[in-house]
Amino acid sequence: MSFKYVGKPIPPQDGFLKVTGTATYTFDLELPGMLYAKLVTSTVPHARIKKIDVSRALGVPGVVRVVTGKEYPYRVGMYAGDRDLLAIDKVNWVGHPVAAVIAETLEAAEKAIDLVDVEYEELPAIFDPLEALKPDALLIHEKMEEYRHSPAFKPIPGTNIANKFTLVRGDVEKGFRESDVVLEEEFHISHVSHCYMEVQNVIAHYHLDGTVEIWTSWQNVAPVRQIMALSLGIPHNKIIVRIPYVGGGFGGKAGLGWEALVAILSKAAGHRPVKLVLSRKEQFSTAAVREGFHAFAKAGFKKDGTFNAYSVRFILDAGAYADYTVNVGRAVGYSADGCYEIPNINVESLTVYTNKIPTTALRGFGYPESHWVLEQIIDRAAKKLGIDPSEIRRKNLVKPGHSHTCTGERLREDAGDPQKVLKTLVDEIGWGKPSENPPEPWKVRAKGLSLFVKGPAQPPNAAASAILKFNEDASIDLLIATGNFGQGTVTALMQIVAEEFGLPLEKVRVDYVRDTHKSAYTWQTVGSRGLFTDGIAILKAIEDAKNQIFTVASEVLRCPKDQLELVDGEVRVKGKPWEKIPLQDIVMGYTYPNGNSIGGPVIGRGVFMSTHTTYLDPDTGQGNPTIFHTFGGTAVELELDLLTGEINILKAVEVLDLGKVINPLLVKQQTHGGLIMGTSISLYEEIKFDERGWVVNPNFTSYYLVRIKDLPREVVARYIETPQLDGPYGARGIGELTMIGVAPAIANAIYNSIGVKLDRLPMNPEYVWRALREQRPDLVEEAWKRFSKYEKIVEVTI
Amino acid sequence: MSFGAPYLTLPEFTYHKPKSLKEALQLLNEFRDEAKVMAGGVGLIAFMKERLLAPNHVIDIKDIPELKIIEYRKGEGLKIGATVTMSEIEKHDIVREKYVALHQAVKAGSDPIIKNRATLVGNICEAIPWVDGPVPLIAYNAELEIMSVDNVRRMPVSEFIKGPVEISLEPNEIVTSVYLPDLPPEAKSLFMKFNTGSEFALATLAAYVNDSKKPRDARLVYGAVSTKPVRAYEAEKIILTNKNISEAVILAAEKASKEIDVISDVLATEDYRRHLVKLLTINVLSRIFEVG
Repeated sequence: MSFKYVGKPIPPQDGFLKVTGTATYTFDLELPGMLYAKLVTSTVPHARIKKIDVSRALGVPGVVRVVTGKEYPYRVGMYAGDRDLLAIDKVNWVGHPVAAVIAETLEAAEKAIDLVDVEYEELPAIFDPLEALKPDALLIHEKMEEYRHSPAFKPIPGTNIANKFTLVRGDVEKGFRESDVVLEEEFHISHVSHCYMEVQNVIAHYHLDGTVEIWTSWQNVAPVRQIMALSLGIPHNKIIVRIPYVGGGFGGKAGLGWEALVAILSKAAGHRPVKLVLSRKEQFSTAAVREGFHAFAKAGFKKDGTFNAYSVRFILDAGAYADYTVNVGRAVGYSADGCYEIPNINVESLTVYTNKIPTTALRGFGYPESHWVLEQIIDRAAKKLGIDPSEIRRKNLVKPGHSHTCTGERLREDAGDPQKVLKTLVDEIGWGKPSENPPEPWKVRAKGLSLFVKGPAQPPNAAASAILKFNEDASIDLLIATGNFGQGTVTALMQIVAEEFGLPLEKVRVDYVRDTHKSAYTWQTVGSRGLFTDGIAILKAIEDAKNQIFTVASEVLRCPKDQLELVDGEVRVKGKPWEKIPLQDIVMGYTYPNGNSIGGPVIGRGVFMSTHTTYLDPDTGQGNPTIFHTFGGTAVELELDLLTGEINILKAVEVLDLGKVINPLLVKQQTHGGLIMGTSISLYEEIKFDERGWVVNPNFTSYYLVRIKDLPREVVARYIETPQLDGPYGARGIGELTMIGVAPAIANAIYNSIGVKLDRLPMNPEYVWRALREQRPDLVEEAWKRFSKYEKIVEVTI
Repeated sequence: MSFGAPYLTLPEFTYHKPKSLKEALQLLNEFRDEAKVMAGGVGLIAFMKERLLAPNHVIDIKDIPELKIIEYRKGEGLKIGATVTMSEIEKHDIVREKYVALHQAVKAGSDPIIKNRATLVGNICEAIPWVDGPVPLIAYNAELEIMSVDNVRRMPVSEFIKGPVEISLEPNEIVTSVYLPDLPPEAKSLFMKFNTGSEFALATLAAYVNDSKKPRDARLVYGAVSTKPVRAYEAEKIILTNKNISEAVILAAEKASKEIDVISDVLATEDYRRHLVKLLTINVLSRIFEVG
């Protein structure tokens, strides 16, 4: 089947405005009479607030009001419901907002925050989640039982556990007894920031009539409205959330941001619009980041490589608020088995409060964490068993149509082709073929593999919808709420609409503003779900619109509906292309020569609702958590400097079974983008804390992001198209997946070649240098000899 | 009080843009501690945004013609004015051919956009321990020309930088130029930095040797390892007193990594830095003496 738009490398629809600097972001917006807010944040990690004196701040010319938490003691949140707008009586981390200054200018607000005097009564602080789990540990959330949490989670009041996820399948103890090799390993990951270009910023206008208008740099409109409505008690239709162009999200702008707070500030400031813009510093100390992570794993294998038993305990260092991270903890838990069939498995995943920066989703949502553990275990087992890492994977891979995942879900027949993913990966990296020797003999070259699988981590009832509206010239307004923060989903969705109606792509428009009032509902654009869920809704809306068009055309052309087709913007009778009506003569209603008219403006509507997903059993974690699984793999060939610990990726291969590539250009960009982000997080990114809980590198001069010089020299991207029959054109999601395999592939390359275990991220030069010295002093010694050996004896005159 | 310095705006100040050095010096003499001199502004504006500095007056010296000069005179050396940008230095033929360590430091210093604004003199005056600019200058025994309304003085860069963000400059003084002595044709210099996974270097080395066949003069200056650039005098001695230079390079590297002051900070530990010092020394000296 050949398509005009689907499968074609069409440039992103918003690219032109973005590269010309004319796209409008929330950051660019100013409203008449707008005020500026600035947060006063805590300087201590854990304390009761004894007193807040705002009198000096109010003396700054231009300051309108200073708001403190006690005045508006709301609890807000998506899943755990544990967040306050401003600290109510206790601060829980260094950077916790305790007050907000509202002023006529940003300068005045920034001057005034230094003059808000807060008196703290310090409490002992907990920075280590393992300490937080001790029975006598101080409670960070003393009133956890009062929080309104989603039914999918199990907070444990009286502890620091925000969610306990448990999964039991088979008999893991018996599994270990029947294994020939049992490994026990530990893994760790540091906190990282999303580092999107546009900092979090919000404008809220709480009108006198009770309507709340929000403009925000966020991923999705629906959860902002939903959480604000539930926690502030405002009817949904009185909250209008608008999102224009967004400068990146990566999960860090999912759920709710500062919108509820800024709305309250607008009300407090006499119903004038208020804008809050975070600084990059605040992105690193006050906004939520990705959690710290620890894993304690035990794995049993049979002699032939069969993965027989797996028991793993994940501890997520969620920081002061775990609102979204409880779901990350759940996703880490139920993705523990990756793409392997493991008959006996026990998982405990604890999302734990500490007195550190709050945490949230970040591209991959727990899957990078679970795969960091599992994919290294596979290689370590392979080495012990003397089996090739690609062979042990081949042996244990799930079989769609037969295998069950660790949640007991039977993989559908059309879930993808993991064996083909593996084979393509192995072929493209030249697995088994030794690398060339590096020119410098104190370096080594090595290859490593990692497979991965991911589906969206969403509630079972997360719906989507689409409205498609024709204009007089048969152009289309597609009203969708699909988040548009750089992924390319919207372009792909527009291609589908143009394809289905046989219209030029220019005839399809999606407005750049997402709007709860005007866009059709979608739960969220997260978890790589947008193309799949919103695409299905759009296809149904197209079908609905076509049905309306054919109904009218059938009367006019005096021909049964099923004999009609849409080609090049015309309704034609099949086999008699000269019997036709142009679309523009139908989409506003058809008018006969005498003026009689039938039909009317065409509006198509469609929905997506997953019917087979479930909550997971609270004791066993069994159920169907997701709507699709995308299989993929990453392979790298790298060069390691044994003297400095530097890792240089020479070649990276990404293979994904996407079902159908709707836009090869944008898929390639997603793949490259994921590899870049994956490389950055694998090798360098890390939020560092000192003993007071202060973030010591809250800026891009000391928090390093990869530069062009740090990137793989060569990237190979290959896509397999095993259609998922209920997906749009057979497609599955991709957005997050391309970074999941990078870290384990790098670590595996090094382990396979020289046996050095790298257990923690990031694998920065100093960490790798230490690991090399501790685990392979012989190699380091040899490398040093080679490095310090001069070619010739040169004599000089002295 | 809030955590960190979360500001998006600058503190208020009066902006001055004098057209002559005399006018600039008079303004500075008038406002003294209340004023800061701005060349490229790369350091100053960042410091102001962080509220580490909040001058009431900013004196922008970019419009002063005599400070824009970069000029080489045989027998005298190279003069680089206070507002000459890193890009201009990088493109200068004499710098590239003769002052190789400086050229390499500037080239590796930052991205092109910053180099179009940043100045070498500004880089010295910031005195942030991690910056690259001062390191080769100390290796060349470069001096600064410092002026006030009633005085002109010269001072070696090595003495001018006293510690982190601490320099020998009176409130009414402007650093007008840096002077690099002319180099004998046989002199060799190289700069190298280690900054993998870090915006700032974890360690740098600028080495100057005159000459590689008959070493009489050797200077090894390490940057980004301590609170200010440090010299390895004992290691230099090894270079000057060993006939077998191939071996001396290794010995000097071992010595340098032990003798100099090295600190731990957010970027790296002392251990790792000492190790990098050793590697940098071998890398740089092996190239200078062509020991392979």
